Amino acid sequence: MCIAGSCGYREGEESVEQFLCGLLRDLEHHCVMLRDHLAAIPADPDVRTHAVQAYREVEIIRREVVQLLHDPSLGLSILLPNHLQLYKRWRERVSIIESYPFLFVERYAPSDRQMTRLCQRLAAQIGWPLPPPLVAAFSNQYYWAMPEFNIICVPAAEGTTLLGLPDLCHELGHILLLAQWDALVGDFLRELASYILQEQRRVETEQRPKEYRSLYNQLFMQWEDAWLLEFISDMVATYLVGTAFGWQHVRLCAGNSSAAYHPTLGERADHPADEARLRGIVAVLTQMGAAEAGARITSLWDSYLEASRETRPQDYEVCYPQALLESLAERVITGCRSLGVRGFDQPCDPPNDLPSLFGEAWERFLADSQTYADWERSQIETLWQELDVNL
Amino acid sequence: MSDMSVLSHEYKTASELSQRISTALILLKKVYYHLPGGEAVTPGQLDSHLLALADLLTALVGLLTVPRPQNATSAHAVSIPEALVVRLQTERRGELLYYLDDLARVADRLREKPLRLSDEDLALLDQLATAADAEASSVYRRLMRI
Repeated sequence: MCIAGSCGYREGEESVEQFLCGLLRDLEHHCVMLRDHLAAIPADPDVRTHAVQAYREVEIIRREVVQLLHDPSLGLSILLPNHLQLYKRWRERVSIIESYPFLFVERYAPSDRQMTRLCQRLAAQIGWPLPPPLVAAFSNQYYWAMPEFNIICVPAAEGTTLLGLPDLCHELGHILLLAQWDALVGDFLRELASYILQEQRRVETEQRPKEYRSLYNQLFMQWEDAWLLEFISDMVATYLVGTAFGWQHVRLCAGNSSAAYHPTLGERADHPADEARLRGIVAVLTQMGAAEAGARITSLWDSYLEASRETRPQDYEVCYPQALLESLAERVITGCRSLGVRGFDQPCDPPNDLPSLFGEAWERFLADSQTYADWERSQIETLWQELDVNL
Repeated sequence: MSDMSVLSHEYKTASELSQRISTALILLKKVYYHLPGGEAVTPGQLDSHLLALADLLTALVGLLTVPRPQNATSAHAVSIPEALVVRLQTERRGELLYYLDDLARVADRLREKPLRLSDEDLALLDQLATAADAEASSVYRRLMRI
């Protein structure tokens, strides 16, 4: 029984302590509802693991809430801010579970099954060291992943094309990074910090304006909190499917409106600049023995930039030094190899090898986009038949 | 590809940090102020939370120091979002050196036996908990588009 009932509030006047007790009871009730709903979902091998994981998480939170409701210190004003903070974190967590894994499991549809099965096959072929993710096909924000829940969301019609599928590998990269941070990142952050320090010394020696000092701090923050994740995910995807990811990157950039050199020094964005990302992709290709293919992609990219009238802003290079990208590429390749993941340079011969299929799709598209659609349609039909997921 | 993948990672880091600080602070206050439930906190439980809090403060001092020492990157074991570092630098602008001294002092005291903390030390930890809470909430709102 929570002790907020005896915390000294006056009748007819709501106290925050009392209100918090109510919120905790409401949260407990919500957890029970979600938990029971998850337990009632019909057994389906594709979603079972995810349903059980969501169930466990909700139940753990429910027990923590109940424990706090029975804590004799609940309602003491000195602990109120801390108890409110805990409540917020629990509430947020439950909302996230309800909005993502719960939704994926409860609304699992035939188009989701297609993409999940495709991802299962890919995972088996590349020696994926983790359980294959659950993939849903209802995204309104292009491809995204929630690595801690091992879920990926893709646009609704992705099952009708091969060209965009390399982006699935980018999301796999996010998942691998969360599970295998040390193997993929190593001490790269120290290298990055050392680079930033070196740039800051240029401020001391007046080679750079004083205002740049804070910009460098911001640069480090963006690299550590966001850009590193994107670069590594790109590099994992390139490691897996090679040039297909590079071509897809150019396709994606050509189809959206963001500038290729954004963000530069002093600008903020969750993703690094597309130009730097392309250099990261090419660095992986080069280090894996596909320099010529990398040069083909770079050549198309350069022509694309010229045609788009994009110009490189001042100090742009400071944000994405080539040496750092190459060092990161080396770490990612070594990390993937150490995890036993098969790279594009270790070809496998089965007729249904997905990395090879993605590569072939891009080569055919580039060679003759007019006849490509028919070829793609037949390949996709065969694929869904093999996976037993025809819609 | 969308911001979601990065935001979910950011939120996880920010949320875990906030929860870790709040939980440690609750235990610490229960024992320090002899609050109901304090007697149920075992010495081992308290020690592990105090040490974790001390390590966190030490890591934070390194990250807040300008220019940042080369060995001050956020180790993965004590993951501190850079956004929180920037938030604290902004909040403490003008008194950052004193703040760093205070954090280092509290970190030392959290490692001492017997525990010798002051009300001011606890207030400092509470302020840190508030900042970590604000950071977690901010990333959550971006993630959920609230």
